[in-house]
Amino acid sequence: MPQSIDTFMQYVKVRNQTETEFHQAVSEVIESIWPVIEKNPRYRSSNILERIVEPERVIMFRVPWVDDQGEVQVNRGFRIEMNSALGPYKGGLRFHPSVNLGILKFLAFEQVFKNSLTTLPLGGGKGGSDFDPKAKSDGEVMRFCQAFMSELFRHIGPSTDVPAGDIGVGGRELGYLFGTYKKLANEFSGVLTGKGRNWGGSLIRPEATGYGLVYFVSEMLATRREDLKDKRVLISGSGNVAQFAAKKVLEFGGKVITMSDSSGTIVDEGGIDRDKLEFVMDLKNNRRGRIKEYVERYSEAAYLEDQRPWGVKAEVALPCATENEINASDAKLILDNGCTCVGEGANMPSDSEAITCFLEAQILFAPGKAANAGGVAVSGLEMTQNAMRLYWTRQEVDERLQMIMHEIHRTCVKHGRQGDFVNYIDGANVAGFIKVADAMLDQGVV
Amino acid sequence: MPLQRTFQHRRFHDLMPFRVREVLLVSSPYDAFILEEDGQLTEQVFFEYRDVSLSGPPRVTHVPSGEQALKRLDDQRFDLILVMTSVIDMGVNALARKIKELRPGRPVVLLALDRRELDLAHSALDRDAVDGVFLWSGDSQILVAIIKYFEDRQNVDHDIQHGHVRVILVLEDSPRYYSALLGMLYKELMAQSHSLYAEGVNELHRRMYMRSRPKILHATSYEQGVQLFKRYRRNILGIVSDIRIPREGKLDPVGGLDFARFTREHDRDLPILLQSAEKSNAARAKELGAIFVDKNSESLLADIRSFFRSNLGFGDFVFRSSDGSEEIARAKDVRDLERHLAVVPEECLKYHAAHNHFSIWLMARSEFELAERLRPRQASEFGSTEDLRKYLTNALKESYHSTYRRVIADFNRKEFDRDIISRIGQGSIGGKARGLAFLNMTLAKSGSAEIEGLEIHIPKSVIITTEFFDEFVENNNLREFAYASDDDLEIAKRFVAGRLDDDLRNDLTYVAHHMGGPLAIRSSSLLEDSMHQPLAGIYTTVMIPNQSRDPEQRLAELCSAIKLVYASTFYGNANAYLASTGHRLEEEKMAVIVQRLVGQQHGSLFYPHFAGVAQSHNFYPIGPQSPEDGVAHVGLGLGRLVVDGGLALRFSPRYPRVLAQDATSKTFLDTTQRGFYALDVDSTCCLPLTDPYANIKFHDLAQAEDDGTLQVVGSVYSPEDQTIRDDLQHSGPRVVTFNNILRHGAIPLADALEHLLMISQLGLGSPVEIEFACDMGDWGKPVLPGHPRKRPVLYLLQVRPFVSRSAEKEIAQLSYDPGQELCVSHSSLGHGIEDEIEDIVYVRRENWEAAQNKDIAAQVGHINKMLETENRRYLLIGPGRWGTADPWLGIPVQWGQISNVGAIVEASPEGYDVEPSQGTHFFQNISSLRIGYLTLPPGAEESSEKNGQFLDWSWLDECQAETETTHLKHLRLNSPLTIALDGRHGEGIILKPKF
Repeated sequence: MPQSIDTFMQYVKVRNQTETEFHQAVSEVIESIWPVIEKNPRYRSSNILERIVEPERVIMFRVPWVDDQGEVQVNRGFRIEMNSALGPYKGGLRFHPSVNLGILKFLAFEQVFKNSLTTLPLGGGKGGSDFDPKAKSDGEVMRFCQAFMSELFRHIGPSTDVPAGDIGVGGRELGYLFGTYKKLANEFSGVLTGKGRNWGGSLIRPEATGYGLVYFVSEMLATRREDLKDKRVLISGSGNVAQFAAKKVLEFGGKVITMSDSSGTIVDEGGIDRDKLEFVMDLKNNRRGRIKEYVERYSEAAYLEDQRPWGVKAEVALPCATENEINASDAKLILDNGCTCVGEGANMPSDSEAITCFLEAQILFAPGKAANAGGVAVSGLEMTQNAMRLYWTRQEVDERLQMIMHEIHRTCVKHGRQGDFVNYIDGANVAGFIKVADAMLDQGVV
Repeated sequence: MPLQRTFQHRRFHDLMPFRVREVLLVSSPYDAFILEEDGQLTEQVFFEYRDVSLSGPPRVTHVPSGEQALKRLDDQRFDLILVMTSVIDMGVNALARKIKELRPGRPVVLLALDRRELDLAHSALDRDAVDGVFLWSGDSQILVAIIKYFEDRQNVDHDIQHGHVRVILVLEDSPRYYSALLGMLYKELMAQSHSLYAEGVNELHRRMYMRSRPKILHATSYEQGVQLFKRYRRNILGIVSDIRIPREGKLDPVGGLDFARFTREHDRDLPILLQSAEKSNAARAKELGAIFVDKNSESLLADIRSFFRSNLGFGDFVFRSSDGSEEIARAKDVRDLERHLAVVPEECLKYHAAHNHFSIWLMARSEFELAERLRPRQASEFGSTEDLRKYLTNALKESYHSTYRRVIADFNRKEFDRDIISRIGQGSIGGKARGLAFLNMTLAKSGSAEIEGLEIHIPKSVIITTEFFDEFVENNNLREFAYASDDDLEIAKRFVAGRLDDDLRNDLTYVAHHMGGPLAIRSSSLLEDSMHQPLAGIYTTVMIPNQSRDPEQRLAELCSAIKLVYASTFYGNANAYLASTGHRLEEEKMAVIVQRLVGQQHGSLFYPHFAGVAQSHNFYPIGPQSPEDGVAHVGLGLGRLVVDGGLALRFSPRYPRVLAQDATSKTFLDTTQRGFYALDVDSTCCLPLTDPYANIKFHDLAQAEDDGTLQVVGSVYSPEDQTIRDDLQHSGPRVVTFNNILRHGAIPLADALEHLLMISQLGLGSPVEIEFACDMGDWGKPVLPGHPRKRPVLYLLQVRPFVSRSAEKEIAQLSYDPGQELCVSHSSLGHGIEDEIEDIVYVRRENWEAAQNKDIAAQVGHINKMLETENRRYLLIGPGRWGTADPWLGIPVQWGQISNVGAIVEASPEGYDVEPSQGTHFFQNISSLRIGYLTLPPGAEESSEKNGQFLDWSWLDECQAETETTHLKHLRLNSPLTIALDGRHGEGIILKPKF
């Protein structure tokens, strides 16, 4: 067992030469859980780290298909079955020319801990192909998906490995993949998630991340005996996550003060109520307009051109727009404006300096990997519904999502508590790892 | 060359290549005197020609002797030599032989003054030297007949081959009879052709009728007749034959009957006229289904004329009862025929169809293609007479429209509903109208007025030619003012206050009333859409509702629109553009196209289901596409969206199912059209003066969904399933995918555009750009039983050359010093030369890692902002895919972070192998803003060229930096770079400035 992070990383690099993306992912995880490793000799004695960085199985296969011109094309297909200690391998399929073994191992490795954190019985995996769906006809995409699945189908199953979509694999591709699986395996089962609503998909997928974020934030506030009622909430972004986060905040009695897009921010001191939110949803989803039009409709609101919401006074901030939308100075502004709770709806919206600010101020800070796990959670719920051969109502799925977010929060608190303060980043990292590692120990050397 | 002189008309222009222009008459002065009793021969011929509207009458030169004839023939070209028996210095045969020696092949004709001379000469004639014998009957008409006969003889093979002209075969051995007969036949033919003259839509069309008249071929024996019949069987319109004719060297008293019998075996419907001095032959002729004429009858001429009119299809088409006895209706022209066909009794229809009368009548009127189409169809082939009626009516209609769409007709109120393009005035129609007329004719020629059920038309258009512009400007004293003024609004006001010519206003009143509904008033200047200066979008187009119940209001609206188009000739923008192309404003003149606006009305809005632009060359091909496959941009509503570079759907007509947006359904959502333009027909108060688009408003897609127009081009993005559903019944954001058309084949738009681009490119001889709009008719709508369903129609609005040849030449002739190349790429996008960029921003190579790409994007955005403030465009160089959402693949800049970029080079280090940015939203911007994009293979640098491609990194590194950041270097050069892109071949080169 390595004595230091460096020696372990050296070991990883030697065994996985040229897979630079994988090295980076392992390095980030190991750094965050190293104290846990040091504190728990059982992991060392069982060589958990060496085992956890080694995929349980790597499947690499030829995907030949015929294009519209009658030419034979050959792509490479992959499925990394990284870890099944907690459940069937679960992770997306990516169709993109950049796909290679290193990238997929990196993604599969991260997926193991993400899935673990959901508290659902999900292992981790990732797959895909270097196929580029760009500039391909629908027929070509279908033939490729069929060729891809004609090999993959023998390695997956509802209790073995359940892929989902990712970059380049949306509803259309999942349909073609599922159709082929069904034909070859001669079974209609929950072998893929992200399926169409009519043939096995779950409800509230678009809402899941935004709702989940607000559930998590409510849990955090509850640790301080607070709730969202009457709280001023800043939301950045106006896409899916922002819209449904706003909707749930309103349900919980909060007051959404801001929303934004890449051009600027609208500030409605009176609050963006249900009607106004409907307007925003129609504006962004149907009319594809700019958020600025909100001010044309509701003159009581102000528009801050080229600005983010962080200069507005509020108790809660939910960054739901893009990566790195909060830097150190934004973070200070947020804190100075009296904000005590930040929940990341986007992926990594706060840069490292901003995170340091939040942690130093000891406010409630929910990292994206925990707070926006709602999407993954609903994937798990789709599997459950498929296994039970029934569809839950919107309300049932929502209730279960709320329970999952509650569990995630509980786990984060359990592993992130530092006195009175909960470091949710540590909590999420450690919780994800420990659950997998302990399951591996329980299941012996396999 | 006027555009209408193409294709079919060119074919008719090519007819009759041999024309008799100079006639040499060799006769004694006395004979000449007799001939010229009625005046100079040239004049006589001239008047004969004039009477039947023939052009170019020949000149007749008289010489009194054979010697002089030969001498003249030595010096001058004569097309026909008429020799009379009275030549004193040598015999007819001797002279004819000498002429043939001197001018082989030149026709020599003996013209006898009386029967005695004729008999004498005829018996001893050298048939090898003398080509024909005719009898002068005191009527100069015979001269025209001789001339036309020899022209026909010479031209028949050529004209059949090039124009499918018809032939009347005359079998008569007696010079006395055939001289009279041919004179009469030609007169009748000319008269018939002349009667069609009035039906021509323009001068050229009228001449077409004259040139394509049937030809007469003359045989003097049974054998010769059979030979000619066999040779021209498919083109023979009718036969006129004597019954007593030579056969095997002897006169056969029933040879003509046998000849008729022989021809009947090959064509049971062929009209035959048999002549005989013996009335007893009448019954035998009748048995053969031939018309009999008594040679000695007083009414011989009238009888023959009757045969022409009743049997050869000359004159009116007379609908008769089933036994042929009773006249039911009479058609004067093809339109009349079409009208009567729809209503005449079934028996009548069957009678004429069974006897092939329709085909014969059309043949005589030079409607060969239509006649050929009808001829092989037997009445018995049709299930019912109504089917037959339908077939005939449709065939006439199609042929008729095909004919009239080939021409620009002179404006004529009576025929206004018929003409697709007509002109008011005789001046130039301007470049845009020329393009339109070209398209119109190209469609007619290629027979592509319909492709797999999709009709293709030109919107009904009236062109007001340039002389009205000149008159308007002069009469209203606007020229000096307009040249001097630089105030567009003032120009517009003064022009609108001017008055158009009164005759023109009268015609426009009629046009506004009869065009009905919204109109587009388009500019068509002399220089517009020419090969070298496309001038696209420089002049004004105005759209007007044209819906007022008050005709005066309509006229006022239309006149104002025309005057605004006139005014735009002098606007500052046009002035500057003209100057940049080396033209002076004085050279420019404006014609105007008044065109029916394509679309349907929905409440107060009027717009087409979709409109777009197709180009035969694609500078930004993706996937399997090649540049030659072309590209189209389409959008719901008026074409302004596409023309102004709005968010429209881009596809290659060759690969309509390969869409850049289709990579993920989310891409569709991000790049979809958000709304559409429509004409507000309620905004009738006043016309916009300098804003021609004031009555064209932008509406969101919900409006189109309410109007039912989104159905054909729209889909739904399902957020739950992350997929596109081609059915508006689903809930979710609406996206304009054109899937119902491009993927599910509601109409064959891609096929049609591919075909149209191909034929237009062939016609123009250069890459072309076509503007189009589509009215889907009743597609997707319920139609009441019994009501005809309106079919989708694709309207072509404009064609123009796409890439000026001069631009190509410039790129080909680009010269530079060795070592001046900064970058050479074989994979570049864009076309043209950019030589104003003096700034370069590049990502430094040292220590670059993909992990830094996000930081790099932010730094690029910072420098871009600075350069934007200074209004300086720049060349951007860096690794991987610019604008990618995945920072591992390249610099993830947002569009706003590089908004001022002029050209981009994708230059990656060895091992960083990423496909270029095509097919993304970012790429859509690059493409629509025509930003050059050069891609290099990874590791291509000056010291290690990859297939001739490289970037001179050392030169960049050696240049003094204006600004430097952790990842970027910004260079400001003293003089501009030259960035030359050849989109046809994907070649790109960037040259360093010459210091």
